[in-house]
Amino acid sequence: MEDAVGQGMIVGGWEYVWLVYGATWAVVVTYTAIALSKAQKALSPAPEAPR
Amino acid sequence: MRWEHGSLGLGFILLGIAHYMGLFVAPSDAMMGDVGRIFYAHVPTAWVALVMLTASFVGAVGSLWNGRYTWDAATTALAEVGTVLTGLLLFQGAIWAKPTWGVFWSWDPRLTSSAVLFVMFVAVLILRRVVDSPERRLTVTAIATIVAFVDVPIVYMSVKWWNSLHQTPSSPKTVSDTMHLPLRMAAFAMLFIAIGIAVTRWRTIMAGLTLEAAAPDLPTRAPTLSLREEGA
Amino acid sequence: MTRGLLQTFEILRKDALIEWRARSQAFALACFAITILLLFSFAVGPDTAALRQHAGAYLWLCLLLSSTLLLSRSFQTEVESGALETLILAPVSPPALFYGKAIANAAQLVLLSLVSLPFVVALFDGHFAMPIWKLLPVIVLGSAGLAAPGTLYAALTARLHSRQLLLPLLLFPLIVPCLLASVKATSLVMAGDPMEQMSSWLTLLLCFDLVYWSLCGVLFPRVIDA
Repeated sequence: MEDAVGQGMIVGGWEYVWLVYGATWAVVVTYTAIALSKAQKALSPAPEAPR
Repeated sequence: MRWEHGSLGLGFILLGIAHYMGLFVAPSDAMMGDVGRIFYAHVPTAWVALVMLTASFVGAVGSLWNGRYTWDAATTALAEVGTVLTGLLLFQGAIWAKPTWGVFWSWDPRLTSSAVLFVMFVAVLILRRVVDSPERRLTVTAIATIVAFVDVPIVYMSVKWWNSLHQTPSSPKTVSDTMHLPLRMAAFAMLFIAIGIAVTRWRTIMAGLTLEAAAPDLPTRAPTLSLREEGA
Repeated sequence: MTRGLLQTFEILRKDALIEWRARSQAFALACFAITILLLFSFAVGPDTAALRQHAGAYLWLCLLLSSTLLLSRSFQTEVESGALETLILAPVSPPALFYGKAIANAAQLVLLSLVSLPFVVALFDGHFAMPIWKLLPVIVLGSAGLAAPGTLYAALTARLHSRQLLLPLLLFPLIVPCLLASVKATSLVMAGDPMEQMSSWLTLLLCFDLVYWSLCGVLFPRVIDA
């Protein structure tokens, strides 16, 4: 793969593409899920018990 | 169901379509082949991250100006989303760099600026966690955000300057994309998702701040060993 | 305006006096800096060419690391004796407080670099292709670049237990342009400047200093408010 640098069109390399797209979706979905669960906990009408 | 959930839903749908197009429908790049498809994921991330951090900067200035906790919460939420996206950006950039430049890392001004930006904003978020008084937290968050944000153009310029004096690989900037559609769609998609998350986080942070204001003596967070403030 | 300047000078004088009385601490700081330089030379090894080439980098990294100790001490006496509140209540204008402290810190950094310089020459086989006085603007501008945001952050983190972690964490990424420019300019003074690049780097340093000396002065009053 490294040999492809500077030698014209890069052939293949789909593993990099999948890695990037996969990471993008993983981060976005996970972050959304965490944000939503935190919001649900914080905004639910259950009374806050004193510690 | 709040409006931000709608934004999230719409964003995810659009992102799915945009990525599908980018992966399977759009032609491969002339120079980079299929690796160029990373473009459709990377560029929107960069754009939205910058938008979020700029909005955070505006929020910071505003919260210093009016001292309101809604602004404080907004600054934090936007900074958080921006930081996460910047982290993702760095990862995407590094993976993209490997097949195209042969190395994971280089002195590309944007890559380096993003790295510095990332660390600075992580520091702001950490700083926020160790300040107890809500007023002080607002001030401290705002100041650190402003100082960090102002630095970004300077960092960018300095690396660019350095590069002009040494030959370093230039960034794969203008991919000749014959399909603007997946790019634009992905950009808006990520923006909708980012806004959705930011508003969700904002509500959560506001709830915490409200609770803190209502019961100031109640510990709202688990005590962390020796990170707290010394005597006032 | 003159009152502000007088106050700044007073703060500066007070700090200089405190530092002079505690000059054993200054001595310890100098030893720390020299130790760092030693560590660099050991870590890099006997490759004289590499040492010479990167001497500028080692000098500025050493200064940066030493600055965390210097800066975290900056407001320590005030916080410990509760004097910070007194200073605010007494009619000392916050900007005067900031600039006084920042100048004091910058001056100490300049002194530290001058003290370290002979060791840089000795340990890293430093030759100076340009006259050595040309290093002075670099040292002054570079130290100023570290001092302004450093002083702001020192005040910001002064009351936190975790200040020793947070101060460098906040400061280090911020001053990357300053570090870059200072290292490059220093290397040019040492290795020669055939392509006349010094002025660009000094300009960058100057811009950085101007931006941060004004921005931090504006933000400082809010830091000590709460």
